[in-house]
Amino acid sequence: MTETATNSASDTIVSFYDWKSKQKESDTTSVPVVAEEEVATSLELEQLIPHIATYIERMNFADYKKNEATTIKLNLLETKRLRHPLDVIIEEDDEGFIARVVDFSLFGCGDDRIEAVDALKFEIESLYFDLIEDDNFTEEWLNIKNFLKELIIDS
Amino acid sequence: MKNAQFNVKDVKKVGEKKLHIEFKSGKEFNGWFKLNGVKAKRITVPKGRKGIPRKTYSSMARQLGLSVSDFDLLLECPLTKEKYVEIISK
Repeated sequence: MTETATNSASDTIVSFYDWKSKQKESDTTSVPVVAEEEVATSLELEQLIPHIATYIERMNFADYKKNEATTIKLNLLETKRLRHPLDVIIEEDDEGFIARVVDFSLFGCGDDRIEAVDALKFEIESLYFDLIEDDNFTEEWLNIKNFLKELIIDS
Repeated sequence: MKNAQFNVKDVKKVGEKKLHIEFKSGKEFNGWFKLNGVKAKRITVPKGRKGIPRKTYSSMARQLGLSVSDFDLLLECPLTKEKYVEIISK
């Protein structure tokens, strides 16, 4: 039994996934199930510790990637098109998401990424309409106004 | 950051009362702060959200030209309109 276990444990285990598939294969073997599996499992587990650590690390990285900020290029607004793509950052914001323009201080939020981007599209148009009302703005806003006038296809 | 202490209604109320911002209601509330009669800062207050998420809170602060801690003070009351004008005029 020990020999069986040692042989089994000495097999090269490349990753946690390999180990899982090996486990599946061994499930199909018949007798004596209980005793052999117990010994093999404890020995294999010892070998598996570094692989499990790597697996956890990978999963954590995947979670991190999921929460990571992403940059997208916005080409369309709610009703208008853009001449050039506008850089937008989307980030997780507590339980929701926030999408914000890189070039000036404007954001939209929502329960998911799409909702946040849709809200931002609306906000950009809303700002544009505010800015074209008159010229009673600080220089900073007048610059943004000119930028948006060049960017947005007013059709 | 004291975002957990305030909700969007508080932000809107302070904006209206302290900074005399008139909000327009669209998908969200948007309003301009006027400095000497000129539109200087524009803030977006999201609708339909009870709590304010951290990044939304700091984005609102940024829109008003304030640091998060000054935005905390604005909402908590110690920061007056005069002090606010002093900060954004720097």
